[in-house]
Amino acid sequence: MLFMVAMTVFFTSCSEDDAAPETGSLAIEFDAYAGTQNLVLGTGVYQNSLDQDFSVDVLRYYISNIRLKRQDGTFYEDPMSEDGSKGYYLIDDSDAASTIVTLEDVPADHYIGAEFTIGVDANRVSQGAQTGALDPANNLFWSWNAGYIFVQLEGTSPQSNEEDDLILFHVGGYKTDVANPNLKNNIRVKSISFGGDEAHVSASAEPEIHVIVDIKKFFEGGTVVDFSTTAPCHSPTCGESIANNYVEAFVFDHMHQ
Amino acid sequence: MKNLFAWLVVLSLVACADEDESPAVQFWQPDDFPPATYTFQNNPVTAPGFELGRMLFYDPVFSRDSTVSCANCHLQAVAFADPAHKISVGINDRIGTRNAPPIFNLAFKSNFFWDGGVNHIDFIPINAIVNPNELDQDIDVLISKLNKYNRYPQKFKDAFNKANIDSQQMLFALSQFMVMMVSANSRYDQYVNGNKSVLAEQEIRGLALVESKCTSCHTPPLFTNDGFANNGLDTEFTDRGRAIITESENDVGKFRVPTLRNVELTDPYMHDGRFRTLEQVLTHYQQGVKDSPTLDPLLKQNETPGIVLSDTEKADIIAFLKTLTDRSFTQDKRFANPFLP
Repeated sequence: MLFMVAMTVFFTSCSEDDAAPETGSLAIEFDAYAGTQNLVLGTGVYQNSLDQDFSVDVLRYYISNIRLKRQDGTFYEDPMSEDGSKGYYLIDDSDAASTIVTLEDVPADHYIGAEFTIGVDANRVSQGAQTGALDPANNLFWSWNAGYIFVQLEGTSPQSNEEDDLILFHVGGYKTDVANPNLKNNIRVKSISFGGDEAHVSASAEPEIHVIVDIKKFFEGGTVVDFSTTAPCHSPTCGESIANNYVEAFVFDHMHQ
Repeated sequence: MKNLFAWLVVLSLVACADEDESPAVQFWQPDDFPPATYTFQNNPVTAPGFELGRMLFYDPVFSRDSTVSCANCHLQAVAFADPAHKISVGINDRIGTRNAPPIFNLAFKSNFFWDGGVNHIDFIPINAIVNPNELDQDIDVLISKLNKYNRYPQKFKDAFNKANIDSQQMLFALSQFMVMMVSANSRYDQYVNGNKSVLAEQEIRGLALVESKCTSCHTPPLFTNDGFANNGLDTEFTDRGRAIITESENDVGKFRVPTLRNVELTDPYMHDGRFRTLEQVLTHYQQGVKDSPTLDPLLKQNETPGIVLSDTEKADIIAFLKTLTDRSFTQDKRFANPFLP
């Protein structure tokens, strides 16, 4: 009751302020590629840097803590709700709608870049059960090592020595402990610049930022992944090199104003 | 902060009191316990939420074939441990890998399961639900079962007032039930709180021995330091324990230090249930501790690994350990099976 009163007072005092500032929307599309080809789940055959063929059946990942950079270097932060239902986005490449993240109520401004987290931060996990994109029913939750799988890539490669030629990468791990450097924190924050372009957000304009996610880069860069020796990867330590690789896979391509 | 939590609980109770005649549902923060770590601000305990959690805990709908409930391996009579099995048994008589731990005083702890892989109470049930050797059920399937089950939609609405049941509400209800399980009314507690006549001489001698030999790890008032230790069960570990989570060789063979509260009831002992009696446990510390690179340093202070104990001291310690049994907890009707008359 006390809170209700406090909330009411709070809202009342807000509504007495000036007229609401102009807002608009901004969309970010996460478009999966394998090198120069559009990623086709299931049937597409691609090659890693060792010329090993592979296909991808599942590509899902979490994007969160999205921030848009203003010309003066300050940021607009996409709000995140207490129950995790807003501000966390589960991108599932088999669901086209999920690959476009639309930010609503963005203050009208000229934005020159963006920042986002690949994964789900420790602060959110420490708040307990969540809803929406973070609902464990989405099966991107490690039950045995509580926390989210940030990036899930599953497929096959004839070079794999696993059953059914499986290749499996579940990257997660956010726990830290000064006493144990082995505990891997695989949260990665990616900054992208709009390449000199500006996204003009206003009530009448909804810019769309096109980000390419090149899954070939998951397997090259800092660590070259050899499908013939890589066992299924589903621990924070195993995922570290993949996380270091995939942070380079997210690249600004172009925007539609 | 502690006061804020208490306030939230009180508020939610006031809100429910008019419409609900069920027994008092109020989180108990014993004065000498550390402050609760549970995120009550996200999930305040209410009478309908607690009662719903209680039903869920005892409902076999939680297993894939609807045969096994949480209570199959967590029996109130033995402080919600599993008395029947060294290694607990899930659906289709599948055997797990570890002994089911008791459930109480979770609200004051920061890590759960033998390897500490889970660090929030809300996530505890997920582990048991999806484990193929336990309930073997996908969370999304369980939620759709609950939504279709006549018994539940109204009860979830009463507790959380949302249109549909989701996993957050299911986990919140179970957490409300589990955080309420506070065990702090043993004879030891009465002794500490000033009633010096409740402990016999041998038990008091045992208390002094425990304080000098055991409380570095089994630290009062929870009788655990919430840490992990290799207590010398083996020289090589097929179950790597804490190292599975930390991926550090320094943690191989370490397991969560279990509480000694209600330990009289929670046999068999150790992560694999290898010891049936407290006598066997103390004999292990007296003469069975095996050396290995991660053996706890406190067990390496003497010429041979272990704790120096005479047989009389062992008997005194066991006498004391039995004073940590809390029958008011194991007989508390609020935690009993709601499906039984």
